[in-house]
Amino acid sequence: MPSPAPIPTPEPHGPALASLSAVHRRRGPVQALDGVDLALPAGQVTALLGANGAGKTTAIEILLGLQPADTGEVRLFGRHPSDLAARRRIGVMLQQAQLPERLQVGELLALTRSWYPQPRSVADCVALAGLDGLLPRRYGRLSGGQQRRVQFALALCGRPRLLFLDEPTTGLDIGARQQVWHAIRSLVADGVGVLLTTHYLEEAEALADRVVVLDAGRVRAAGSVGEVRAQVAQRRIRCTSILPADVVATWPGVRAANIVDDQLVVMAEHAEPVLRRLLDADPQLGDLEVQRAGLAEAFVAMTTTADVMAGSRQEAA
Amino acid sequence: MTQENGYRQRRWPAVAAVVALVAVLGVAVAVAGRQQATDSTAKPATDGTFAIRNARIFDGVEVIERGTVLVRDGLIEAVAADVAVPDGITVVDADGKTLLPGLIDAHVHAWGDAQQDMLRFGVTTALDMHGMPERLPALRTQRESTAPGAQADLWAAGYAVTAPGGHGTQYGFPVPTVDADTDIPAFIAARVAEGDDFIKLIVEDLSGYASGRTLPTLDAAQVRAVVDAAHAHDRIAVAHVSTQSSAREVLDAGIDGFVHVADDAVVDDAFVADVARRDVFVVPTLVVIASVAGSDAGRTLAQDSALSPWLTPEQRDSLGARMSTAPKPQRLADAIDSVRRLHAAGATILAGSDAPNAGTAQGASLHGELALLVQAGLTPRQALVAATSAPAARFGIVDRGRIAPGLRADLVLVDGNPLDDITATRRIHTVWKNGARVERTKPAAALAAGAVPGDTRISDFETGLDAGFGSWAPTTDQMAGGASTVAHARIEGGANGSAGALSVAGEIKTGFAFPWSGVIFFPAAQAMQPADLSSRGELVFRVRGDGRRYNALLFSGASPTAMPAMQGFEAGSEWAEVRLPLSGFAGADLSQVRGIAWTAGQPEGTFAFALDDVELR
Amino acid sequence: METAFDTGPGVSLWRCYLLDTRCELLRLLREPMYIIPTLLFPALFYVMFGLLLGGRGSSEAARYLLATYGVFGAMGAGLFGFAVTLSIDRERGFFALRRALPAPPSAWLVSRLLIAMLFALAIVLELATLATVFGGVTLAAGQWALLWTITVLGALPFCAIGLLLGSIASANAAPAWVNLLFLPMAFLSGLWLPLSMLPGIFAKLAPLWPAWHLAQIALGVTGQAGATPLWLHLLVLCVVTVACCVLALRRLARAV
Repeated sequence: MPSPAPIPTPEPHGPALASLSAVHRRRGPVQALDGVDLALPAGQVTALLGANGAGKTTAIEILLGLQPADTGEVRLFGRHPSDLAARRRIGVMLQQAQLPERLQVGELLALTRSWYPQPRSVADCVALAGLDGLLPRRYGRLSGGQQRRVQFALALCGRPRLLFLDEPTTGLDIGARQQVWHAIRSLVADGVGVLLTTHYLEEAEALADRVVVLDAGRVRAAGSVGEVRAQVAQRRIRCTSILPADVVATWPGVRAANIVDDQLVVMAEHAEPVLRRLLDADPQLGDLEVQRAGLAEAFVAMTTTADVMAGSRQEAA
Repeated sequence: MTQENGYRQRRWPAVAAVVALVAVLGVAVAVAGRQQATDSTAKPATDGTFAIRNARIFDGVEVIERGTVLVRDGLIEAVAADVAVPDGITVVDADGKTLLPGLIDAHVHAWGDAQQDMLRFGVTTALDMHGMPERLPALRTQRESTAPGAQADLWAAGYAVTAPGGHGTQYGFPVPTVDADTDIPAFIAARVAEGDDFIKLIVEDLSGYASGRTLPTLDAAQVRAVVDAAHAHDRIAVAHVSTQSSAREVLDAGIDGFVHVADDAVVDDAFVADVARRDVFVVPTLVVIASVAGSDAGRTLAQDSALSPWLTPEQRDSLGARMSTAPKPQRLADAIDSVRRLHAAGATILAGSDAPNAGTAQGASLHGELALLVQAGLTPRQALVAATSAPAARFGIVDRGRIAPGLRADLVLVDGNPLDDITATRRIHTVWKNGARVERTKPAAALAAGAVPGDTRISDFETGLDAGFGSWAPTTDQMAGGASTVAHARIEGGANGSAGALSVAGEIKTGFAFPWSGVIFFPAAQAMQPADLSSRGELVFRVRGDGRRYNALLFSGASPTAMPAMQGFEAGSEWAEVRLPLSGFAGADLSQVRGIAWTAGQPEGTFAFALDDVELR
Repeated sequence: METAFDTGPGVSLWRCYLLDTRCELLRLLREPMYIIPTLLFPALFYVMFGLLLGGRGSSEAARYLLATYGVFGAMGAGLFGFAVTLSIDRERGFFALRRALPAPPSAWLVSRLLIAMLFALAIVLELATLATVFGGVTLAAGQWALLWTITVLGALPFCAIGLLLGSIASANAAPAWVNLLFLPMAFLSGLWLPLSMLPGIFAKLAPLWPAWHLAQIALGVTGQAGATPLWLHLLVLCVVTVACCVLALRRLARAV
């Protein structure tokens, strides 16, 4: 079982454009962030993962100056995020933000561009975000996906050095999502840093240079995709078996065992000992499949263990 | 917890904001409430019980240099240098001020707001010399009431007694007259039955004025009969005269008082002696004689800083107006001289203004009269007697006119000492009527004359009676008691082949002395509201009619009831353009034009004309 | 913390204000349910109560209601213009987004103030036209100018109150709160009927309402005000404006 202590972040490649250092933040009865370190380097996509309530939104809001940190240090381009000069170099797309419905896309773009000293041309924004033909349309009349794209355009229009993208492709179809990924990659290639939150783990795998996993206000894991995945070296064993999952879950070396689609799915640190035991326990075992676990499973594992630990503590209480 | 980022908010600004909000609203309610309270306590106390202390008191006859007056329930209880004032009574400290009895104006003509206007100037009672008898019972009731009032009380003559067509019949209401066949005792009995408090007769044939006109008037025998009949009914008889000869005639007929001093010459010694011997009183009305004489006395009075703020626009207008007769300064000099002689001989002089004739105003002019009486030789004290105890005594008014126990608390408190400087009567501090303090309110400033749109075209009657600005209305002498009629309407066929014109047709009938009938154009949003036409120079219109001569009347000035200025025009059988320069309306105030009328006048009979293309260029 | 007006090189604050004002104005103009009540009702009520019913041919009533309906219009422009749009933007997260983005912090405030005053001006001009053409009201040019200035500036305290409401209420509740405050306050301040026609207790409590104070100042121009001193009215309006602004801006500056 992974230790619950915070994990030190490996050194990023370039100097951090923004950072949280040992930030604590309490909201009501909940400790939203419990000693978080986060660094956002230039030219890289940092994916922030976590379950609902893990602290992702709080972390972003603190970086944007929407919330104060109770303790710890927040830096945005070397200044405090409440400094307008610092925010002039960022672009933001917030999942919960809804833009004024009665304004046209072109008007929203003009307004947002006016806040930046050297904004991108309107044509550029349209091209990057895929807004063709949408400029004269009122925001409220657009589909969910189109609205997302408008918000993306607003995030880019100021030629930011650091982009905060909160669930940027939710609601987009495959084609639109690909377009956004393409845009993000080209920006990153220009040296723009990106903080991305997503619950599409394949998005994180596809885009992210670095992954930070937050759980219950703490950094559970941080590093490249491969590193994080490897941190939780897991194998996924899938088979058809009569063995009950809850029994298998208690075997040593087994992270988790579930029945998924009538098949027993076992997550184990090392596949071989578990395989042997399975085969011993159930000679009738069939449809055997062994895979390297993906980020999704790593993620689930990380966050599930904490839930289980919390759950068992609760039961004991 | 650190606060390196400044998000932590200190609590005190929010608390301060809420506290400030609550505090200021509380203060607002308190202050406004107090304001309303003082307003209501400022109303005249209906208590009627109070004391005035440390005043110089002129009681109607004598002066107490420093004394106290105690009023209880609206009546004077005590007047002396030294009066014990019970505890708990409101005390007015009158140090440096003089208390007078409420002033009495011995010659007025009162209608409209006259009684309020007078009271504002400290005149609490007046003698009305000619009016309708219907109001006499109400006047009696009012002056017998002890309730707090906002008006001066009146004793009245009812109809003045005059000959048919004589002076007094021209004021727009029918007056019963005395001719050769009238049964005078019955006539006077009828007048007394109507409620006349005294009988006033008029002897006026205009011979004292060089106008060339003569009016019919009572002859000596008739005057004698009227005086006798009045005495038979226990009424005094007073007379309007304007010549020495008519004054002599009336004096010989046994009159009790003159309500003018004849100003055609200075009184002769024999007249003075007889007046004094027979104890006939004289109300000189010097202020109206000053106006006839063409002096600026009225205008000067209007500008007196003690009086001016309390004058209504109508009063100001009245004081500034001039009698239409040609100025004759000698008349005033003669009248003053006459008063000097009469007074020296011991005749009783009473103060009266003959308001509201041109050059005078109710109430204010009595103060002017007091000054003229002093100029004519009366001492200030004697002038004050002439406005207080003397008229009360001569007209049989027993409950006022002096400050004495048991009399009505009609009082005027003025700043300074009118016994030294008679003009101190104008500096009124407080007026009490029936023991209650009178709330004197400064009249609101006249409504500013409105601007009118720049159109020169008023109406062309193409589709109707609409006008570029303003409105049209019929106007006849019926509003003054006459009987003339008019009908106005748009008709087809106007000047220069235009589509429409305004037809005005009607009949002039007898009834009012100066009949008129026609249409009137009001330039402002409301009838008779002033409008500023000073930028215009000419009234232009097209007219055709029955060949009669018509008048264009321009109503202007501070008062809606002032006489209009007039220019005539002919209405021939063909359309013709008439251009009347606005400067040709003599005496008009073009910055306050209230109406322009096109009317027919004398002679009686039907008339008809049509107007078109009316413009003010 | 940065000043509210610093934008640094390359960004013109006035251009931001202009664009923001334009956007806010477009939002309102595209909302018929806002335009119609705000611009039309004062004129409509004035015609009904001031011209037709109140006193046919009485220019006294027409002048009184000219002043008070102008105040009514300014109230509406301030309260609705601020409370409703602000609560919507807060609830929908747009306000937070602007805070995260480098939008000048004063822009949203200034743009809404300008618009509220613009609407107030439109309303007083409407009323002035109706009053002079149909009501027979005449005022000197100086009086008109003073009346319009008072009414337009008088929208500010109500902008502040609207600001406070908008910072507290949810988007659904805000219109309800505004109406709950707006209509009773208008009535109790004597904007529709002179207070002398109501029981005395209402006249006593009238100084609680900022609208009454503004109406008294406006009536001072037409010569129909009561006896309370001008400084009191100005004091109340200033304190209300400042206090509501302080409370509201603190709330808005807090963590979203």
